[in-house]
Amino acid sequence: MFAYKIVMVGDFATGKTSLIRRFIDNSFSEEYLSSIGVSISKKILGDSTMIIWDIEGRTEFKPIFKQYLSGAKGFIIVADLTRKGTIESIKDHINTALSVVSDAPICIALNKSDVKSDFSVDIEEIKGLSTNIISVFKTSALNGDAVEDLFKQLNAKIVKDLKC
Amino acid sequence: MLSQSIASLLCKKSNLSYLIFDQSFNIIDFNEELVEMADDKNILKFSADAREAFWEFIGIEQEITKLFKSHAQKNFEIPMIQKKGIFYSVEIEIYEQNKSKRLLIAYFRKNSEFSLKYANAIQEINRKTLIFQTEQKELSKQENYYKLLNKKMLSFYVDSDGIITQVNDTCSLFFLKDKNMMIGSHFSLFFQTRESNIETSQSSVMRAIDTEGRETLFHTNIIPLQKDEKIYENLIICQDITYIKQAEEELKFAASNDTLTGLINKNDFLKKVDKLIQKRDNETMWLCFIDLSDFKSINKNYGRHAGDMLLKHLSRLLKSLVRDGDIVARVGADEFAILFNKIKDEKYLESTINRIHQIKKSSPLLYSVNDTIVFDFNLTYSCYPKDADDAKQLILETQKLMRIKKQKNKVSLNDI
Repeated sequence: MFAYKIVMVGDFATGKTSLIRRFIDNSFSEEYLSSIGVSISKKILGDSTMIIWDIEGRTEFKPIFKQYLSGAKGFIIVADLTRKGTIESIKDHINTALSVVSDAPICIALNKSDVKSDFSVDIEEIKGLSTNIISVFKTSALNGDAVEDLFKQLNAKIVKDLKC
Repeated sequence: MLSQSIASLLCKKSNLSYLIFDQSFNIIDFNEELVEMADDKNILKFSADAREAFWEFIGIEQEITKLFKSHAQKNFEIPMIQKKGIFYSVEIEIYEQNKSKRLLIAYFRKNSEFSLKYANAIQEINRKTLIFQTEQKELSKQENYYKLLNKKMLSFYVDSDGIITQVNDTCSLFFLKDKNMMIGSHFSLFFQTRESNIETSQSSVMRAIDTEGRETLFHTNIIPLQKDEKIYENLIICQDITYIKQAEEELKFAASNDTLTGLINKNDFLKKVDKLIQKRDNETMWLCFIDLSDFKSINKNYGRHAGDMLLKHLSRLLKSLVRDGDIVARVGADEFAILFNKIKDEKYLESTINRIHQIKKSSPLLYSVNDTIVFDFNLTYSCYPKDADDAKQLILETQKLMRIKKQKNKVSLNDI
């Protein structure tokens, strides 16, 4: 069994921690408490162990701390389907992640798909932002939609790359 | 190892835990306080893989290799890790146990109360910003952010040239200066830092002197504030880390000194003697070895504290009897050594040795009103270069003489 690190990246309050909680212990909390610094969780997936870094979301005043991204084998970039600004930030987050690990696979999670949004998102356009993107998911940490697929697809890609 | 010294106590006092491991992440040593920080306590054992006990070590392999290869990079830090309700930072650096083996030491530092308050402040800011964003309200976020910043955290703003544009109350109070007097000045008038420029997205250590002349060290978070993708200001948040730096100094002192007597220890003594031998200029030096007699029975009869006090007493007396350039060291539990350097006149040596012998009678330890502790010791000495070629041999030679002397004393006692 081997262990590797992935990092959840995104603006603040996009639901990074909630996605992890849903994936790790199938739970959800309505209360919003933004993450500070980094929390690290572990999930065993078959013959691999995924170490998930839940880092403090970017705000207008605090950039992503690049040191947290070092050594990652993959990234999940999370945006909030109800806040346009967080979707527009995806490109920045991709650039930040790839400036630290240029060949890492990326999954995009467009979270809060359970909430009605007053604007539409072009999935193909997001996919086209980088060749490192392997999938774009519309997820809901609230009801669990596409959460397992998000993590498992990234795991499958990383495991495949490491075996090559 | 660190655990065998006072270092573990200092670590405890300073909220520091440590883990020593090799390049393959095999655990070599750790202190007791580290256990609570492990992700898996059962795995935290000697020779186990550090990455299994501490998940934050997974993925840092490249950084570790860099540390080993690069002379420029001194350490690697993972700040603000949240685990079990506490925040801590990990700083990893090369640890040289001896010249032949390079290991790694990770210091785990629990973040101060200020950091927790800072975290709470950020959470509150984010919560309110989220409400404003979802309600589509315009918000002067910068102003709100500034107001919500932990008031106990010293913070100030500088522009791209390092000119102070805003200071908070704590900052103004620290220097006892009106805010308007600070605004418009270059930050270096108040804070000294190794970097001449404040670069974005980085942290740094700054030094400042308060109004009472006390030096304070701050770990600073430098946060760039962007406008139209252009950095136009930096917010600098300072956290007092003076106590951590003091602890590091104490750790360094503990590594080369005997913390009871304040004298240098055997390792440092050997290094110093070796150094003097290397740059000798045909002058002789004498090594004097002093072995306290029957120290165990002093501990037994008066208690360990009395024993400790006697060691301190004797070390003070020995220091007072030698010249400034001579070196006094504690080289064993009840053993002392003195190096008399550059002896031109052996009469000096003779008279000093006589004075040392006299303290047995003239200066017993007045431990308490009822307890006066009389002590005795054996003393031998040898000469460099006459008796030895290097420091180690010089000590061995002097110790050999000590054994012979003690044997003789035993024989004569038996005779009596």
